[in-house]
Amino acid sequence: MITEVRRTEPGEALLAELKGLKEQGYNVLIDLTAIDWSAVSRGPKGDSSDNLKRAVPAERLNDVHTIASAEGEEYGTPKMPERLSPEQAKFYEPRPERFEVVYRLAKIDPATGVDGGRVEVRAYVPEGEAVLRTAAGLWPIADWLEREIWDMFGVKFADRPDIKRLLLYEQFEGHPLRKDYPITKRQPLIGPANADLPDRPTFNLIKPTVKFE
Amino acid sequence: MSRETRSYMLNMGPQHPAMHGVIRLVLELEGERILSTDVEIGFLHRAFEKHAETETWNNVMPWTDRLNYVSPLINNSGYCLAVEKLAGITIPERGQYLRVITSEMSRITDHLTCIGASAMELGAMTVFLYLIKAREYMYQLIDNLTGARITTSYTRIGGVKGDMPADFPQKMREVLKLIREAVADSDKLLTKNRIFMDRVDGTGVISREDALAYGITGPFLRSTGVPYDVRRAHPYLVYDRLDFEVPVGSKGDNFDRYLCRMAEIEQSMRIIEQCLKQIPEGKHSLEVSEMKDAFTFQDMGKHGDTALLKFYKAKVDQTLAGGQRGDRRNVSSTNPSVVMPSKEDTYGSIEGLMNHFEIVMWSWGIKIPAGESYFAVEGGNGELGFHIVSAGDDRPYRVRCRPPCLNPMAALPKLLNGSWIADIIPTFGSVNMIAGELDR
Repeated sequence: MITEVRRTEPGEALLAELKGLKEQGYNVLIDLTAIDWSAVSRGPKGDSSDNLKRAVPAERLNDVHTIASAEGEEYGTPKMPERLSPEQAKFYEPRPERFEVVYRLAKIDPATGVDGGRVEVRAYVPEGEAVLRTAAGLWPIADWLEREIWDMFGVKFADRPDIKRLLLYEQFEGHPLRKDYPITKRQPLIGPANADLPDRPTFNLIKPTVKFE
Repeated sequence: MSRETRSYMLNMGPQHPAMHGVIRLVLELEGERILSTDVEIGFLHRAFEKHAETETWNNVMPWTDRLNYVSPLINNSGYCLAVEKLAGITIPERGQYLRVITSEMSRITDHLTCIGASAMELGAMTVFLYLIKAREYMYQLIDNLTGARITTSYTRIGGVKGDMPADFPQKMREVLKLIREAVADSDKLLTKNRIFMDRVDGTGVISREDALAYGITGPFLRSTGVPYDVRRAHPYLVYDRLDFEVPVGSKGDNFDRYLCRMAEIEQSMRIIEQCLKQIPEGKHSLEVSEMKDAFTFQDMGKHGDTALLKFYKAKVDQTLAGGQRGDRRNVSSTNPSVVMPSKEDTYGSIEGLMNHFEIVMWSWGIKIPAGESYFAVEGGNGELGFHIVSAGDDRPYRVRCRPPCLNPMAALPKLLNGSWIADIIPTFGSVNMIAGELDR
């Protein structure tokens, strides 16, 4: 499966690219996902501090759960080899923004079922800004996939201000696939808002002992 | 006299016998007519993708069993193939054939479950019993091969866990015969059955364009007449050497999806039979003459018979996973930095012991070079893709699973709106939603 990778700016440019591809015959949105690059900290030079500081708010740098690799290095994780192939070295270069979204398109011929080629459209998305536009007008499945991206990464879509979470519940705090979401984090218990406790149970009552006299 | 019509809301699920798991449909009804549908998913969310980031490459394997728990072996293969693509590992041919055989076994169990369960919900209890019994034969065979009926964890990065038992091909032929009988019986009971036809024929219709726009793949897409199959469009493993057909429907309704699945069971059985003919030689376990007890090794060493030692392997407890596995070079990569040594090596030689510890030690393990890969296999419900990102560590940086049944679930309002409430049951059954895969 050979995939062509195209990179654009998020927002209107990305939407225009997707529209253009759809007109070229890429009729299926196979997948839409995101990657949080904030924890790619160990470059070939071993300079991890800058990347860590960029990714994690300063007040949370001491949180032991914040970044898994920070803990690993303390216990003597073998460093990456000094010499890396050019592709690998490129992998460790600092990313321009924290998140990257990946739209994966396919060109499926309805008559023969042949896949005419795959293309990945990628764009870096800054944290906290709603720059992406929804692609639900092009492919209806984008609706759910965008909800999942909001749910898991907290990446917002400019024209979907009241987007709903897909897999988690509305009261969930945080976005779990962000690298700074600790795996051990507990969520508060939820219940119906303004719920009154029932004054007494109506079932499962322990019956008073009947005395026979 | 004027008549007032009023719509009302109905919650179907999260706990409903026809909801195949935990899912909630919020329906707006007018009488028995469905006006609108809201699908709520996520009740079985287990944070598979987050967990995968904390586990080593091989330890993700048990989590993949729980994605589509009706066809776990396909998930195992899909994840491994994505990682191997990134690492540039090619596994031996016998291992590739074993992965194809297990994938097709899983596809059969998946389709049998789907047809059986949806037939039961339409009242055909007999068909359910026939097909689940047939599935159970297959599960027993999977148990013989992998050690578990459902939570198989059969593949490893660089190969599979172990070779197949010596009597596996023979047992497989017997089981395929029984499954063919069960499928033929069910076919007689269902395909021209008036009660069944009334419920499935012409209900849950989706057009070809809509199916593609929703990114639907697998039997669901093929029922609309698009012969897209990942095994054909992007052949992986040894599928390009196998002769099989891609059955398609024409109308895209529940009946076509049923027929597609029935036809695919037969095609999967054909693939298995061809694989058993083509598979290269190999053996499951060591001969008794090749093994010696550990104390015999000691005695031989004390007596100075060291020249003979290398011809024998240590006899290990049969209950140890990976023990008695014989010559694993046929089914697994020989790269010691990727593959765990067999237990005979771990207990029988210092190199094996060191190799074992280098793989299991914290932050040593298997290191996959930094990069990204996407690999898709044909799952029971369609294209099952894994997008893997590695930062060069002993654990994934990100694992994204593309669940094939998410797309038909997103299209469910389109299938249901405007139809009757009784149509929910066959339509939902033919979607074959597997909550473990949908919610991950």
